[in-house]
Amino acid sequence: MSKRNSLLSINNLKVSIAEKIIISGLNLTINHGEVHAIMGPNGSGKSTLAKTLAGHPECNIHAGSINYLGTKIIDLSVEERANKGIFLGFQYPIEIPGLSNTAFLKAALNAQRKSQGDEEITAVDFLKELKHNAEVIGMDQAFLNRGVNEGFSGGEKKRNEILQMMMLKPRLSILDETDSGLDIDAMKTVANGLNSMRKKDSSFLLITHYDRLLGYIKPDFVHVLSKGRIIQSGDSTLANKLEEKGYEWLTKTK
Amino acid sequence: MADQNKMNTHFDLNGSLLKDYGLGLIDVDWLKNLKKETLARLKTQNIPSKKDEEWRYTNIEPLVQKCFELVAKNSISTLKKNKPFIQKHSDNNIFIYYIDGHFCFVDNLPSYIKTLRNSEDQVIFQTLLNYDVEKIHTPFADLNTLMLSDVLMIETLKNQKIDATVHIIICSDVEQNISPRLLVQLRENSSIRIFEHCLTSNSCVINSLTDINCEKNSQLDYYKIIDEQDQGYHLSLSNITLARNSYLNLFSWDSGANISRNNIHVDLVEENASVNLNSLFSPKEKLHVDNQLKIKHLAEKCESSLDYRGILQDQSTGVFGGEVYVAQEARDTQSDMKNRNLLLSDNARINTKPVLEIYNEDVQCSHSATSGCLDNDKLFYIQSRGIEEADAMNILIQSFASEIIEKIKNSQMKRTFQEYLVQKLQ
Repeated sequence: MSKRNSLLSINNLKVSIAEKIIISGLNLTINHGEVHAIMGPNGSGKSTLAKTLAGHPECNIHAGSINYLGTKIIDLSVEERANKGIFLGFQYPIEIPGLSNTAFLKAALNAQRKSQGDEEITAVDFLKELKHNAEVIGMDQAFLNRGVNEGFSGGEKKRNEILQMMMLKPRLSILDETDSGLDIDAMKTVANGLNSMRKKDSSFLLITHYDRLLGYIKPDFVHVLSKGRIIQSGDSTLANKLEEKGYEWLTKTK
Repeated sequence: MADQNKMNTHFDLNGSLLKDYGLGLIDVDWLKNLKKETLARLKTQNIPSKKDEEWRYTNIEPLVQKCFELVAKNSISTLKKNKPFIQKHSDNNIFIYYIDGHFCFVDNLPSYIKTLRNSEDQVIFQTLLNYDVEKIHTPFADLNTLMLSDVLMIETLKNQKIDATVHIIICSDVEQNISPRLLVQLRENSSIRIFEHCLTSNSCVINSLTDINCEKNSQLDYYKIIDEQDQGYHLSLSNITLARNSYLNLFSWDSGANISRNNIHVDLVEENASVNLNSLFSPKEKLHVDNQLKIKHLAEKCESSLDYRGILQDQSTGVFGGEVYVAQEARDTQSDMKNRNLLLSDNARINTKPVLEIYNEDVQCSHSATSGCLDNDKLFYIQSRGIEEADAMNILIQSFASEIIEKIKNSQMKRTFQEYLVQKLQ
């Protein structure tokens, strides 16, 4: 994995939340078009890694660097990172009553365009694309005019994250346990959405507990995170092995 | 309280011009008598102060002072000379302006709207005003009666469904004491929409009194926007009585004044009556808004729902005092009272006190109050989609207000409130 072609490279990253060290020397490189899966037991730092990449203010970086598209992003704001193409699919998507899904998506899309010096999207183009993407992931049109995630079931919220991702077309999508709380049908439609984006420019970092989702989206690499570091990396067969044996055989030898 | 203490807090009316001014406004015997009685009573009443529980969080003193100062001034606005200002009625909109103590309009009013000044039938006015005076004993209500020079009455006929909005615009461009009086009588099985808009461009004192009586199966949709100047004072008292199966829906937005105080009293007197109060208040700078609500469940199977939201900036202050009373005979009562507040500055302040007083066990009642700043998780979520922090904050503030506005069913009124939202919170 040469650094020159890499989309994201994380070197020796150390992160704490509320004075507690969560990430303790993490290295990871993701190249254009790759799908990486990060697995690991509860509390290993998976979600913190995701939040750190998106720029959550509670994540304090003590050491290391994050390079994205050849620039250091540690000092960039949350929205600057987003507008450079980093997307975080939330483990627990936030409800915002009073703000319609459609209005939110349009504001996000136009913020992205503004940052790139483009004009605002026309209402017609926007609605056309929204409708198309909603169909791909099997989201009922009625949800589009409701408040953002307001009263959505767990599965509907996750679908909504994927819809936002498809509209914003990020270069790097970090999906934090997008598969949890999904039934098989929902998992398939979510996987549809992901696979439709898995073209040359889109890369994925999938954070997951189980290999269920990975049955639908085959990762190029699987990493095991434990106590804030990657303790094992491999190809997609590693996921199967973890499913069989659990994490203990790895964490014990450490 | 010691007698001597009491003496000192009485209204001192002898030195003011109030007496002559108040009585001279309209020359009808029954009204003169009514005012005389009111004046006599007002003299014996105490001036409200911070010692009174219901005025604990609002310093009433400057208001009382300003009120009497302006009563003596008796100034006249220039609005009437400015004809294009007054809008003509359209298909579904009736426009009535309250200027210099009179209700004004360009075209003739529909038969269900009368004013004291242009009505030949004084008996109904006399009956209702006398009834009001007997029922309401507050100094400001008395003051309204004393200052009253016109009355607007909206009285529907039985079974009359009026698909029109009656706009009542209370306006002034000079310093004035403004005392509008409104009587709303909805007869059986009738319905109407009213939109009251307080729009003053100078430091006025508005002291309004509204009496609403909904007979069985009637429905009233009442909208109110209070848009006053920083130096203005606003006092309003609404007394509402709801009979069987009647329904009142109120949407209001108060952007604050030097002191703005809204008293709403609702009596649910027969079964299946229902009241819905939805309100936004958004003071800035040093403005103050005080909401005092009293809902009385006096009969079975009635419903009340209160949703009050404050958005407080700078050094502004707000008060929410909500009281739901459920009588022993009011079985199967449903009531929900919510007050949520967004404090957008460290110096903004809210005092909130939701109270339930329940005298039977067959009820479903809830009440809640929350106050806090913008939610960081929500901000992060919005920013993570590429939206700048300042815009994200704006989106959150607007969504907080939108939740109330989204409940408005009438599309024209919804638009009016949405436009006001953009104007006030952007």
